[in-house]
Parts: sequence; C-alpha cells; structure tokens
Amino acid sequence: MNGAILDSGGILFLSLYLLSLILIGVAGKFASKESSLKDFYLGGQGFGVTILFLTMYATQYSGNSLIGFAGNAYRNGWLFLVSVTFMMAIVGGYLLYAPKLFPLAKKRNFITVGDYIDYRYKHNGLTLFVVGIGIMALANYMLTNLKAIGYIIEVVTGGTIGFETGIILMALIMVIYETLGGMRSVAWTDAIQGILLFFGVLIIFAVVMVHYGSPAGNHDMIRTLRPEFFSFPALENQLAWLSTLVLIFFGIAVYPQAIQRIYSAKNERTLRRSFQLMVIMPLLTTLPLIVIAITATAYFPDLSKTESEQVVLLMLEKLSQIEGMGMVITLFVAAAIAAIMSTVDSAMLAIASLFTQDIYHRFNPGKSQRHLTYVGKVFSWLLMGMMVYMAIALPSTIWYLIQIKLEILCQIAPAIMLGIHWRNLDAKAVFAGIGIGVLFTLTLLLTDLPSKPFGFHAGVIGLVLNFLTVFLFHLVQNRKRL
Amino acid sequence: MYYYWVKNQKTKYFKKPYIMLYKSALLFLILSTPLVFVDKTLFGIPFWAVVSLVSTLCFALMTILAIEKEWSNLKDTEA
Repeated sequence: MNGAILDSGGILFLSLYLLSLILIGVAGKFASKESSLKDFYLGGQGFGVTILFLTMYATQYSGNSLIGFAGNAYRNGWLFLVSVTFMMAIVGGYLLYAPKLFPLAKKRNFITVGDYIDYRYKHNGLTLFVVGIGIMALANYMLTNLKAIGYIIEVVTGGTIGFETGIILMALIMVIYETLGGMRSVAWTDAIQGILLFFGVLIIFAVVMVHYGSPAGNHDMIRTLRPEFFSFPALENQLAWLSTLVLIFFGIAVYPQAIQRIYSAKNERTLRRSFQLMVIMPLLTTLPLIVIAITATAYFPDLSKTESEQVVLLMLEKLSQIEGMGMVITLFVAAAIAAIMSTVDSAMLAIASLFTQDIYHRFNPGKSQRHLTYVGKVFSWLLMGMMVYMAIALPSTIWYLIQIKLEILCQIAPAIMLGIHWRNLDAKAVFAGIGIGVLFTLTLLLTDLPSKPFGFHAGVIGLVLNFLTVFLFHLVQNRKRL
Repeated sequence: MYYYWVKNQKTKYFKKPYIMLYKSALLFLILSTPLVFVDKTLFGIPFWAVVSLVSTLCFALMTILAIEKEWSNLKDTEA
C-alpha cells in the first residue's frame, strides 16, 4: 500500500464498521412490522429522541460539512463563522412549518413531501413539479457525495482500492442495508455514523489544540500570515453572509429527507427534543472544525484550494509519529466516510419514496402496499446503479450544474411554509411562483448573466421573485373573484 | 391573529422567566453591535467574530426556548 493514510489496523476498523452497517440492515429487516410504504419509508413512525436526533444530525452534516467547511475556513478565516449560524438557522426554518405539519402528517398518513403538497393544493401538476425538483436536488446530492467517497477511499488506501471500485463498494453497502430495512436501517446506521462524526470531530479538536495550540497561542503567527482574517468584513462579504443564510434557511429546511424524518418522529415531544439538540450541534461540530482550520494557517500557510480541503488530515498526518495518532487518523477517515454515507443513504431513500409514492402510486392507484414496497426497493437499486455510473463517467466540467441544487430546491419553500399557514393560498399562485423562481435562477446560472447580482445568490433573488409572484397572483385572483 | 394572540397572553406572558431571557438576549444583540468595530482580539479571535459567536449563542438559546415554550402557539396558528 504505497502512501496509504490508514495502517492495517485502520483498514480493519473501517472494514468492521462497514460490515456492521450490513448487519444493522439485517436487524432493520427483522424489526419491520409489515410490508407497507409507511413502515419501510418512515420506520413505522416510531423513532424516539436518540435515533431521531442522530439521524437528523448525521443526515444534515454531509461530507462537505467535515471536509469542505474546514477548507473554506482555512481560506476565509473567521468570515466562515457564518457556517455555525446557518447550520443553526436550519432549525429555525423547520419551526416555520414543522409544528403544524407534524400532526397533520400523523393524521393523514403522509410519507413524502409530495403527499402534503397533494393534500394541501389538490393539484397534480404542482405536486409533480415539487416532487421533480426534490428528486433533481437529491440526485445531485447523491452524485457529489458518491464522487467524494470515491476520492476518500482511493486516498486513504493509497490507491489499493481505486476511485471507481471505492464508489461501487460503498454504493453496494448502502443499497444493501437500505433495501433490507428501509428507513429503520438508514436511521440506525445514521445513529452510528452520527456518533462517529460527533466524537470524531471533538477528539480531533482536542488533539489539535493540545499539539498545535489554540488560535490565541498562534495569534501572532496567524495575524502575520493572514492579516485579512482580522479585518472587519467588507460590505460584499456581509451581503454574501446574508445571501448564504437565506439560501440555507429556505433550502436545507425543506430537504425531502428532512421532512421524511419529521414525519417519522414517534410523537411531538421526540421531535421537539431532537430539534433542540440540533440547535446545539453547530457549536460542537462546525465551530471546532473552523478553529482547527484557522489554527492550521499558522502551520500550513500556502495551501492551494484543493489542498486546503485536506487541511485537517494534513495536521493529523504531521503528528503521525506520536503513538496512538493512527487511531485518531482512522477516526477522522471513518467520520468523513460516515458523514457521506449517512447523507447518500438518506437521499436515496427519499428519492425512492418520492418516486414510489408520488409518481408510481399516483399512476397505479390500485397496487398493494407489498407491491409498492417491492417497486421502491427495485427502484433504489436502479437509482444507485445510475448514480454510480454518472459519478464515475461524468466529466468534472458538469459539476457546476450539480452545485446549483440548493438554489433550485429553495424554490419549493413557499409551497410548504406559506401553504401550511395560509388557508386561502391557491395552487396556481404557488405554481406560478415556483415556475418564475426556477426560471429566473436557471437563467442567471446557465447564461452569461452574473450569477450573483449585487452579491446575492441567483436562487435567493429567484426566491424573492417566487414569494412576490405568489402574493401578486393571489391578489389578482382575489380581485377576479370579487 | 397575531395581535389577538399577544393581547390574550399579555398579562402573564411578559412576566415569564424565559421571556426575560429573550429580552436579555435581544438587548445583548442590540448593545453589542457597536463592539464589532473594536480592533481587538479575545482568545485570538477578532472582536467582531466574538460578537458574531455570542449572537449565535443567543440565537441558539432563543430557538431552544421557542421550541420548548412556543411550540403549541406555533402549532395553533390559524391556517
């Protein structure tokens, strides 16, 4: 194994971890109570605080949170504190609709976000539009994370397991445990992955602070090398903060897999406690990563953008001569893989449920629950096969298109957040709003026009237009009625 | 709707301890704003970033309290 980051002990630990996921999948299958979409995609709606919180946590924190955030903090310094705020603000986004949606979902047996849209607006076109946007965004999420896991496996094994084999292997493990136990398996594996992520970050933070010192201890060096980290943010940076906050507040809060987790809570109390714990997590996960990355600027001052994504690993590798550090490195790798897997499996489960419940079931209303569950499982395999192929085959030049997922997904926020509170809101107004929002966003992103006018994301401006269209359309329709 | 809700709650509402916490957090957010221009560091962190962090903590506290105390009000808003 030439240049492998993990030693044989690390590889063994990782193999045992991956094997445990399959075993959890088997356990999830035995725990299933019936062959129905509700049992398969919502785990029978019986998740208590521990599992619900850990699955929300592991799903929300992807590989990007662990690797990309550290790289961003290395490049932008304290400006990237915005990530702590926006990870916290997502819970605020949930509060705009979850307190009302949860009891409604229980009463009406909702399984997907499409179920709510269909119940609320009774408009096939709108439901399919929202479901289509959800599937597109989640497929993008799967693709980027699969590609990331391929790179990680290749790097940590020193090329012994190649990029393609890494993707195929991980995808196979995920699709096996997902089709065995559905949401139960995914949530239980998320629990393990969440624990790995949480303790992994905290232990790495402690190791870095002990061996490299804190930002206070390295203050003079950091200030000399990166004086811009200490300047008050310029107006354009402040606007970028605001835009990012808005985008994530409305985008991530309406992720179909997040809504699925809200549905699967055992009761209101478990949902509330899980949200409260989620509020604290950015301080215990995102913030330590930012502090680590800023401390790293004193020791690794000239990293390129790509190198900066590996800044945590570089810091740990430099300490590799210290006894026991191999375990910490293994923990970091396992946490990164766990973060990615928990995101991909949740996205896959959400797409499969959207397809089965909102598309297949809609056009085949007489099919039994057993048949629908079977269709969902077959679809998961086909979907994963397609995603693996695309992750391996697509050229990196198209990754720009993939990054726009959040800017499109946030356009469905008015349908959910306004619809739940505004009784007279009409399907046509929402449809028009989403249409205008998506069209405007895509126009800015796919043409030569500036993609961030006045420092705001195209998706955020699209969202403002979306809201305005909904209000104007509603006003015009009301006048016509009068 | 919001007006009536506030009116109904008015007498007991503003005396509750968690509302005092809300008020303190909000007051801090307002009073700390000028501190962002102080060119100093605390524990190696620039002052504006410290203020941002403490504001985030206040936001976290307010969100946790809102989930604990206001959930039923959020649930019962008129649809």
